[in-house]
Amino acid sequence: MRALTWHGTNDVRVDTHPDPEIINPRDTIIKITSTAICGSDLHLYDGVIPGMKSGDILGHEFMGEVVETGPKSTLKKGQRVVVPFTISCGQCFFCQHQQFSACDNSNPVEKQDASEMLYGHAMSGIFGYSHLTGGYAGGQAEYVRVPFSDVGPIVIPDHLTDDQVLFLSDILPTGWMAADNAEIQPGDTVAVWGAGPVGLFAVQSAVLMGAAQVICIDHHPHRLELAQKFGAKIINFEETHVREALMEMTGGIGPDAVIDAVGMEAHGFTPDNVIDVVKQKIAPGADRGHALRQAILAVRKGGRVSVPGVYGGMLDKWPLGAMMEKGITIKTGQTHVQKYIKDLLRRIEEGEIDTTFLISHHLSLEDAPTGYKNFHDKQNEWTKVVLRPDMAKGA
Amino acid sequence: MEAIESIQMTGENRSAWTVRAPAGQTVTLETETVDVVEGEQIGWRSVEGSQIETSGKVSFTDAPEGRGTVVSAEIGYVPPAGDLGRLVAKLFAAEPNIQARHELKRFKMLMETGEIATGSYYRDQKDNK
Ligand SMILES: NC(=O)c1ccc[n+]([C@@H]2O[C@H](COP(=O)([O-])OP(=O)(O)OC[C@H]3O[C@@H](n4cnc5c(N)ncnc54)[C@H](O)[C@@H]3O)[C@@H](O)[C@H]2O)c1
Ligand SMILES: [Zn+2]
Ligand SMILES: [Zn+2]
Repeated sequence: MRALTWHGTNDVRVDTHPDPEIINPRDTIIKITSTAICGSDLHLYDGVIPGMKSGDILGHEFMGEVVETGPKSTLKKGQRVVVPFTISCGQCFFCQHQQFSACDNSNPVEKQDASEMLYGHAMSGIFGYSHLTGGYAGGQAEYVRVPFSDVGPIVIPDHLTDDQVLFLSDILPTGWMAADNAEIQPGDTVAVWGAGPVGLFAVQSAVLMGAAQVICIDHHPHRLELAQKFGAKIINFEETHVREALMEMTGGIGPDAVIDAVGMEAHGFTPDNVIDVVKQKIAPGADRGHALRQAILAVRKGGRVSVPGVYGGMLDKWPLGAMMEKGITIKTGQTHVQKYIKDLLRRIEEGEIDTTFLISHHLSLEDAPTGYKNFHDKQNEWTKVVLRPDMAKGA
Repeated sequence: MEAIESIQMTGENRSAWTVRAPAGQTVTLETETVDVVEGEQIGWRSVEGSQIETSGKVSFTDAPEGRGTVVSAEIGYVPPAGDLGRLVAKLFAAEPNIQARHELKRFKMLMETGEIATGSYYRDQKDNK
């Protein structure tokens, strides 16, 4: 099969690999119809996530048709499914508590040592996301092996198109959980850093959860316009002093909840960020936390900080004092996709949530490297790339 | 266990083990079960004529507040002298703690999910370590 393959920093290519096979009883094989490039893939592309090997197949946002099932799979050949990016067994302590992205049993044992050493506990398995999370081949490919297929994949009714449901695999539940973690109360102001796919879904979710005012912060005018369409007020951080503006917009109190949908590669020319950029270049595992620091300083006393943005290692100049003295609550994590996916599919079916506004480009799988380059270099216009194995190269 | 090539029952509480050792060699031993406490523990000990002298036990206790079962393993062995001894020492000395932890985690996976997780996507994928 053909698959998008990581060869090194800023070097991804479409190569030929063996076709996947059923290995464990609960496995299924999916023939991919649509798969997307995520902001998280850009962290791999930039080489800032440890544990990648040349030859790894990327992709954790995908859907398709069931073509083979293991003896213990509950799926049937021919069904259309969306697959959560987190691999979860459904039976361990964490899955039983709906903390699916903390699953104990999906990261192969021999891969658990690294994250256990780094983080104190082993991470769960994730598709196409380094050997820290299992070294699973991802779904930016023609076919993919899906373990625990009786727990993760959700069957999609025929009348919904791929574009309507593909983002149930990650970014829609991620934006939703980000807003859920912000514990929004009536009358609240919620500020969201980042108008990328995750930030935009967090904005949409916060509005649906009843926030009185949602404010989105970024520097790409077109991305900010999309946030505005959902009723958000916007701040361009290149033109406006972010914290001053937020104070003015909240009667001098500060936002009740803040969401960091930027992650470990924040942009900006403030002194803290310039130092972080240099560190990240010389030491993988060093995070850039400019947006998160700003969010922590901006949030009101007693407020909530929700962090869907991905961090992988260590961060310094961490405003711990501000957190303690202001009495802030912080919630974060890889998304518990399986917890939210059913409810979000219903909201899509009922027309409450639209996800198609986000897609700026459809490309053939063969053109995936172009997709990576542009999603990385031209963020303003390239808001989300969907790859289709059935499209012809260059189409 | 990854290093085990085969186990065969040779009697009611006896089994013959073939264990892969470094340098393509194998070690054979025969064990009998001892100190069995129904639902709590199983012990074993090697019988005469085995290439390694070993004994140990696996025990099962309730985790606090009904959070499952704690499985502990104690594995003891006396390495034989000579070439075989060096071979066996190598087999066990490759971080015996980590190996034992890995085996227990695989056991937990198998008990909870009915399978052992692998990141490989086709059966002969050998490089996915
Ligand atoms: N928690 C999860 O399970 C999960 C799932 C998916 C993605 N993520 C993470 O969420 C983050 C965002 O993902 P995405 O797909 O939207 O990525 P993206 O790269 O497309 O978007 C990030 C946006 O942040 C903006 N930005 C950068 N620096 C900023 C700053 N200082 N202030 C305000 N905005 C700034 C960028 O201009 C960009 O528009 C990434 O870190 C990604 O890894 C997490
Ligand atoms: Zn993603
Ligand atoms: Zn689990």
